[in-house]
Amino acid sequence: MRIPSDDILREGTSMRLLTGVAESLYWGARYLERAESTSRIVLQYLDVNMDLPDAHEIPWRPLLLLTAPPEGAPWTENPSEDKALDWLLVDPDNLDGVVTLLGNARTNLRRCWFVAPPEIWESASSINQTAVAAADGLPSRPARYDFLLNVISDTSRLVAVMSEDLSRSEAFAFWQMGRAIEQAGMTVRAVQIKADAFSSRDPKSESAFDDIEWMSLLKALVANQIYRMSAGARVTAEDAIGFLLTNPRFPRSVQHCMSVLADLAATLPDGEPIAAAALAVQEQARGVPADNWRADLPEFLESLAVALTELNNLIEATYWRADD
Amino acid sequence: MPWDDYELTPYWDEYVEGKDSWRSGVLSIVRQLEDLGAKRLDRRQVRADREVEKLGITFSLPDSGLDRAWPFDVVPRAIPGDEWDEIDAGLRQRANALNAFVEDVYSDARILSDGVVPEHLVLNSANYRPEARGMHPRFGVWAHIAGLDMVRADEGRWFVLEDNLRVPSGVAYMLENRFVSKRVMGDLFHNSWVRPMDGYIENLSQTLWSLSPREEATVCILTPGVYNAAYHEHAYLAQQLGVHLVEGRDLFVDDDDKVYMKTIGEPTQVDVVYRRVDDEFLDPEVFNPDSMVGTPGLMRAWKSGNVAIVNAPGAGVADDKVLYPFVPDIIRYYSGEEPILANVETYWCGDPAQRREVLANIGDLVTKPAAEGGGHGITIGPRASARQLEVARQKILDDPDGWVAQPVLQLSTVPTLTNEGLAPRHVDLRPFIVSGESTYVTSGGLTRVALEAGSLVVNSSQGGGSKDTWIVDSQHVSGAARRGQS
Repeated sequence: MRIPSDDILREGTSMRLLTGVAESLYWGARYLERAESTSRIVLQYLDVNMDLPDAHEIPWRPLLLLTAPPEGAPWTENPSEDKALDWLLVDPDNLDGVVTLLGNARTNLRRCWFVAPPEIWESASSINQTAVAAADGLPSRPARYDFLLNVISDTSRLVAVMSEDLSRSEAFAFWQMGRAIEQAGMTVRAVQIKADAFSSRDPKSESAFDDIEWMSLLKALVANQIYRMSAGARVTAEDAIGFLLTNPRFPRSVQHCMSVLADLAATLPDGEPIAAAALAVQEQARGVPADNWRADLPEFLESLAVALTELNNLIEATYWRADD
Repeated sequence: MPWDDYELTPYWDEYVEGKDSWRSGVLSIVRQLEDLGAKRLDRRQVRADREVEKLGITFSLPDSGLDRAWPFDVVPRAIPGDEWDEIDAGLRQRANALNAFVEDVYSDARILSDGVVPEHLVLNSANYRPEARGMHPRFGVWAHIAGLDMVRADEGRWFVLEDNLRVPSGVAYMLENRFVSKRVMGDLFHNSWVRPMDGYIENLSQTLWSLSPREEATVCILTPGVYNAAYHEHAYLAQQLGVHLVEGRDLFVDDDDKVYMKTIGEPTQVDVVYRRVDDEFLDPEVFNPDSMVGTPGLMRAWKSGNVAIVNAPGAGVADDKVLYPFVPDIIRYYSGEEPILANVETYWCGDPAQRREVLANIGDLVTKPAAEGGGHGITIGPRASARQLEVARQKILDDPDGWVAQPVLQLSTVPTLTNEGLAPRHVDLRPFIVSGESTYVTSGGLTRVALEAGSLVVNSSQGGGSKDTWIVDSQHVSGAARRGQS
């Protein structure tokens, strides 16, 4: 085998990433991850609620916590399935709706396509076709299922291509940092959805269906198998929350995502303060309230969400907002 | 059978010579299309459309920012290799002479003092940049990337219609057409002894790197941005070349007159800017002060020798339509040879006698604004209304120096798949030439096809499509040589 010359191995300064490209990679990854996670959560929600006895009265309001509902919408208190899912998936006014997220992801990928493996454009086109086909509405449950499954498979394929073939350079760091911070954020948000309903409930009113609901959350975050292996058969609220936030082997835990982010940031110019901030968020996630935890959970989760937003702001200010 | 209803027209068809007779070089393709049959050919087209969509090969409609799938017709255009060799030689000759002309115009201007080209035409050209005087880009090359528009007319004779020396586009589509063609028409392709196109990126890459003023080179492509009609091409080339794709705001010129990129760390010095931005918008310090897509100071850096700009500012002086009639003389002047490729007969309206001729026959001519490219502002006499002809006449009278006219050429046709099966459609060709230390010509080029029956408009924004162009060698080429091709 021919050994590459030093010239090939040397990380030339010309490899340094443009600020605009760094921003596009980071946000492209975030939008894609958000679209995928939202789709997984909605899919699981649809699945599990069909198993519940009073399926004809599925509470759709908690799902709206995934995004900020429109101000003054008459249906936000108790929306129908059509209203809730239209808003979450296809409504162009919803900046965090899946179709909008896919569009934003595509715009960002267009800007950084030239640093990515050529195959990503095939995946990005496929995503675009899925989004365009859904833009006119998803009128039935089967149509919604198809859409959600397509989004999950399209985005997974694109992420796989990037993870496999993107040059291990600063470009890779920004792409993975975007994914890590978004995954952590979506995990916190998903737990918030459950906790919102759960913490206000009387502990004595726990039913067998609570297990199903917590298991569905684990499934939505692709965590059920890892959870079972580490925590055993029984699914409890306390264990599930602790696992999702702090288990180092679960890729979407806040703990793991912040480790990834800190390691990557440390390789970048001016990245040390970001690495330190990520480790601080990690530490914060470990402080799940012990006493009176049901009541304190919402505030704790909100403070975690705020910490992640501040971490994002620090990344932006360090690399591309400095010019503004 | 796909050929059963193929109609014969008065135009030169590149496949069909007459009833039951075919042009040389296409027989193998004709037979294979016949074997394929009409239904399977239709299915190939559906597959091609799907490939184009899947690969995200798009173009943007001007001013709208909307992306459309790139229209691609599966039936290839075939040109015999020996015929192409002559065109190749003609393109090299022409590109080299035009580069020598630009170098001369901005230095000693011998060709002007010798009276071969009228001085006032050059100095008054909208594409003449006094700021470029005294510059000597490396290898004496100004138009490193040229895309010449060619057509075949009566008797199949080739003509150069336009020399695009500023920011010619289309090469990515040429390469992607080949990619789709191989995927969808792989069997025909493999059996047809087609010359490869892969050398373009390699040659462009070597040329760009060779232009760096320093030993090391940081190369970038300067794009007007994601909403530009050719953005897809800019991103494609940046990816294929492995260079940075930048917008004007990503660059800055420091007090040391060097160009830098804004990165996430220290700024990085840029040595070669392959710009896809017109001269007028390149540097607001020197040209259009309102330009949002350029970089202030870029010309300063270029004039200080700290950066190579590709194509060099001012190169467009040689593709001014007013100077086009002089290109044969320009070739003779610099090479001492007779031009290999023919020019289309052209009248310049700044000359009173020629203007009278044009105004008297405006209904039979194509009139073109001298400083524009890409088919903008042209009037095709025989297809224009009385009102449109009057407007064209008035424009010529208002600014005679800025207008030229040419006879309407009967463009050749190539079989194209339509809803009614194969039908003849008019085509043109844009081959690309890369010039640096040496000169490289693409094997073939981008064939554009007017998809409407009888139409001569090949622009994709106005209903035009495209085809893969196959330069086919006869089958005595050895198997080993064939396998060496991609």
